[in-house]
Amino acid sequence: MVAKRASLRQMVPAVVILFLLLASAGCTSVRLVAEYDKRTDDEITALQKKTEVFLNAMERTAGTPEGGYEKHVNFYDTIKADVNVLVVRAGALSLNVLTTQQLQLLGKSIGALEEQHRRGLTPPMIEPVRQALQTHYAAILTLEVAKKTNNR
Amino acid sequence: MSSKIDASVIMQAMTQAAAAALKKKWPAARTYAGHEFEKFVLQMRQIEKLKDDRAITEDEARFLARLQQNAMMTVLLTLEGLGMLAVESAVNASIDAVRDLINTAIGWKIL
Repeated sequence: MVAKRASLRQMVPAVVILFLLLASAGCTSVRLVAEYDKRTDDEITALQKKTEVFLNAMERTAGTPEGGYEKHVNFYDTIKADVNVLVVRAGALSLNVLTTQQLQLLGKSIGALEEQHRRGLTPPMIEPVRQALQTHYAAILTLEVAKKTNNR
Repeated sequence: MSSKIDASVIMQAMTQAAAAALKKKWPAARTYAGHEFEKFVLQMRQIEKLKDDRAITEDEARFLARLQQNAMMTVLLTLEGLGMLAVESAVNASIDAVRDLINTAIGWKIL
């Protein structure tokens, strides 16, 4: 009981600060996470489509000269540029650190895939690569859509 | 396919770690987390099978695992975000509950 009272007492300054912040900012609600960004949503969906097209092609050609890294340099150049543009945009939006970090991780995975492709991609590797990249895209979209639908 | 990877042990370990890290934000993220942790176990089992079938080398397995780790970190960031959105909702609901009382008491619409 005493501990509970002490803990409630500790919370009072935080609540007062919260109300003062709201009052000074003229805010009507608190924001802890960035607003939904339609451009991020659309761009991630477009990136996923590009990735699927690439992986479908690799399913047919991995391990053959047609599936070699040199034949797909354009895919990596384009997708890395797309991700970098999204990272910069996400970073410019306030309270958007989580999405920015997610996009940086996507960039890391694309980079790792490119490195591996230089060394050689074989047919059995394509499905696990697809699953991992789908997880990236789905996680980013899940958070973005939640920003829109969370009673805001 | 018999696997040396015990799904229940891994699921339990991941769930406990995530729940401890997210604390009160965990309930908002639990359903999504459980689904993603299951997928992670399946991916690890797939890598194990490819190894057993001698379809990939150790370096290739390491690359696939690295991709899965990055993907799982992305999922954990989503969990963090869902938790923060839940806290945000709770804070805003509590402010909504006292908005009229405060505004009336002060005489200005400050909330």
